[in-house]
Amino acid sequence: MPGGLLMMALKKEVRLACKRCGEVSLVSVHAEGVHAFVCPFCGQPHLLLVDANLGLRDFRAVSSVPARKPFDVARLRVRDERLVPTSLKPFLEAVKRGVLPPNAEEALEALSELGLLEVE
Amino acid sequence: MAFSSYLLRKFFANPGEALRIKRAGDEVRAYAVWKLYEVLEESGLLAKLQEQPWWSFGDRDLARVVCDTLIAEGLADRAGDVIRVKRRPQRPAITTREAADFAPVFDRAFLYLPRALETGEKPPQSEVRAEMAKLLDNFATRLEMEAAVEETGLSKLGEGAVIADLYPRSGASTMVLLERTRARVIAVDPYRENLAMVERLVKLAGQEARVSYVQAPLEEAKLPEKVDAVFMAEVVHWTFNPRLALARARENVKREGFLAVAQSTYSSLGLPAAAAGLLLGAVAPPPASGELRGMIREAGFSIEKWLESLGVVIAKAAPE
Ligand SMILES: [Zn+2]
Repeated sequence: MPGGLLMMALKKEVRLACKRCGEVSLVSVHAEGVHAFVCPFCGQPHLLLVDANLGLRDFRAVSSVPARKPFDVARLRVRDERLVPTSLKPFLEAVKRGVLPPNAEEALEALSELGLLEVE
Repeated sequence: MAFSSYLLRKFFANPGEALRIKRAGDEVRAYAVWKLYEVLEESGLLAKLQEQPWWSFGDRDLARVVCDTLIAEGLADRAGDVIRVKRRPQRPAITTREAADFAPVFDRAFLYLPRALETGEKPPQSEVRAEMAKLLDNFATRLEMEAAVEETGLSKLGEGAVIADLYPRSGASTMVLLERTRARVIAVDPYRENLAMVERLVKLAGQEARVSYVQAPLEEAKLPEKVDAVFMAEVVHWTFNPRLALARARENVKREGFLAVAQSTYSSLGLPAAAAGLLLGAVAPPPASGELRGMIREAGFSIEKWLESLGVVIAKAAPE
């Protein structure tokens, strides 16, 4: 099945060691961008930034994430970029350059509260 | 008091930038008007506005703003309480980042226009939070706020000064104050969810130490300290009782302090922007320029600076 092959080719298993309790989770990512991850052992929220080669560019503990889905990662995407407030544009531009700015969770929560964040 | 055109003043200081701002304003206005006309025509409301008096529509404020916009733009004539359409606008080219950033707000807001005009029903605030935020937080509206910060002297206040930022809503005014001044900021907003949004932007900017928050209606706000300046950016027509809000501002500002206002008016670009505003949370059309002057004076301020261009007023007023 070509679709299946494609999926396999575009999917990567990533080992994430929780920044709080140290327990390791194996999750799969299949797209670049910002992802949310909640440690299934202790509930610590994390953000990870995945690049176009599905490499892990950043992985950090944060105070909150818009998605709460233990055991797996949730990809976070902006729904309508044209409506993103100007104050949040530098954040989006940084993410596109492959940088997750400090306090990134605040930008994601803001986008989420505006209804501009899709959790996949 | 010095009345003058902001653009003319800017032209002497920086002609290139003045012309660019003028072009940006003209593009925003032309785009908004073109979109408005398109939505009215497609929904059949353009025909109705030529048959039914404006006051018989479900939302009279909105119907009046729509008719006045078409008349001001030379697209229609007034014929008693109805209008007569005489030409259709052309879709304008957009070349400035301000217009490009603002245009999506009109695309989205005017989706709600036909229903609001006919029935008086506006979209629930929870449904248009992003649109409301973008209406205030785009490069064009920011340009207005930045000009106000510069022209009123907010930008000259020192680190020890405190500015009350009235009704920041999604936080654009707060961010402009943090970026363009050195002062501390008190964000005053009646809604908890707005303050939560402002707080997120402040944290993202790493400016937590400079900002404090007061949740209160503007008409009742009593601040923990007298402030050096009060900033009101596009607030007057979003407040149920702007006269009372201005009177409270007067009470909360130091004797040697001042009021800084950035406010669209019932003319030029202010008209189509008012149609979008009424759909996204404004409680009234913006005031006419003279009405705004009267309100500021009645609240106990004397106007020291009054700059007006493209339907936007930038004003500085001192307590009397
Ligand atoms: Zn853990």
